[in-house]
Amino acid sequence: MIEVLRPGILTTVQDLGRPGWRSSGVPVGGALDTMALRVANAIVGNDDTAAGLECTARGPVLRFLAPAHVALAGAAVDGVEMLRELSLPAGAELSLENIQRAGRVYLAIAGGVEVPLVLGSRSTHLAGGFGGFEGRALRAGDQVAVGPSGGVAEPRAKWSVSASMVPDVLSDLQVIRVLAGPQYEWFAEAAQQGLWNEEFTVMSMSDRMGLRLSGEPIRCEMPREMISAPVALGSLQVPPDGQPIVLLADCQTLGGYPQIATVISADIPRLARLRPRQRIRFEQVSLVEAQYHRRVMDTAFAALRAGLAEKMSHHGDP
Amino acid sequence: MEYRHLGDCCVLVTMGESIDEGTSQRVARLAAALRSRWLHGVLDIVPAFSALAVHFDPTGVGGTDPMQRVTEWIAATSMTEVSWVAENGRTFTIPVCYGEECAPDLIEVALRLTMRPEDLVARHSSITYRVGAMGFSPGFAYMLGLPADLQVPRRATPRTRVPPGSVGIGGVFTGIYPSDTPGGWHLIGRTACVLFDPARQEPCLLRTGDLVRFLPRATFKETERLP
Repeated sequence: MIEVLRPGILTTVQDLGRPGWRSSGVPVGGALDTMALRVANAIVGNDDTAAGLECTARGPVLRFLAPAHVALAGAAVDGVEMLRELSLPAGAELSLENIQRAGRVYLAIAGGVEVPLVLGSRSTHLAGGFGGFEGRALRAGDQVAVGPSGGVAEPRAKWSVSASMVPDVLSDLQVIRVLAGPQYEWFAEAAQQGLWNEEFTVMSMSDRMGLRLSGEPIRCEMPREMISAPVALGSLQVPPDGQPIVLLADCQTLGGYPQIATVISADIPRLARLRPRQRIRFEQVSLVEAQYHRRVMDTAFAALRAGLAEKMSHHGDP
Repeated sequence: MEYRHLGDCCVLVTMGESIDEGTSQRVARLAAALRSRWLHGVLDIVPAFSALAVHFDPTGVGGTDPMQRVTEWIAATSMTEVSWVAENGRTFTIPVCYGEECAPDLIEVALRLTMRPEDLVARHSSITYRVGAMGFSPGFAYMLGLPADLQVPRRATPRTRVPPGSVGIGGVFTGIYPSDTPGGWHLIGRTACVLFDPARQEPCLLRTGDLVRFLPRATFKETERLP
């Protein structure tokens, strides 16, 4: 059991989401930075599907009522070691309040956060009020259950995972790679050039549904009426005010704004690491390149998992 | 049919350029055909009014060009159009209270349409609507068939919160808000029927292709049960 002493700004239970329900209007949801959650889960020996805590801007203060093995991945937290297994005795308190530059960090716990599966997932859908812990963000006093783990009794980790798996995006200007979107041709050449040449600033109103950007407006002449059509994770929608919105995990399944571009899947976790006021620039890549970057990411993670399994299997060897 | 990619994990198939029942039926039929021969690695098949999206996990689909593999599967399925099974549209009669406490925008909309409110209610509840697409929020059904004389543009300022069960009209659509989301349609009634419940075997009451009629009821209390 984990007791929430202070909840932080927005701490939710998340896993890798609930695909399979988009045709019912249910967002895929799940962790915004799936790679950080997967890495943290791998460190504590969990399956990829285990649920953890997503902590945004200022994290929670937690008390562990039973001994626990946890790991953190994502934005660095002051005073806490990242990317390695932490063995906590019963009664230990862990403060994730000071997330550097108000980023996003994921806590995995051996055995996973135990909440009921709703439509095949433990992730919290805030707008719908279901999934996760009672369909809402954690509050002070909540007691969150932990699933059965492999029964690790000893601290086994003298190692940590390389930060290159989940590089923090600290530099001010980030380049996000995109493919042209289904309505790219609806935009005049000047607007298309603006997308490639201008810089955009991440706005503070950004949430789990979308990353709101501010910059030189991208105008769309709308050659015909837009019919609400399916959107994807990473769709770059352009509303009439010309300020683009990048759709994230909790976005709607259909959208009524023209989509000028789509962020490649290998860069979706990086979107989750952006903080308000950071600047981004978009770079167009080909589908072949996008698929290549995705394979590189998946291969790197598979290698990490295999390496960790190796380390864990040797633990306790004479 | 036109194929486009929506990023590197989704194929978008566009099948028309307008919102009409014929197009949305063709989209729904292709969705049903794809579901009947599901490809490994495909996560979601999402039909909309004139387009359909197939979301997939590239690792699950496999190969060096999973996009190509998914596109070929869709193309091969669409070639067998004759065998597309039409998903049977079920018919629902949904009780709705159009009374003052349930219909904050009824009088204003009636004024704009130069109709008496009771005529608007009679007209709205005389039509059989067809679910053209699911989306916006869990269980939300965009219903087609609203007659031209009941069509009004969406509210200039959307409400930040719409009571669940509210029946709205906006543009060419009518529909019911399943949960308390923001909403830009005009609210002309409300039902106590639960449109979406994740704990139910079938969470959504409605699905694309279903036919819907609204049955006026004097009080909100009387809308709790489907007739």
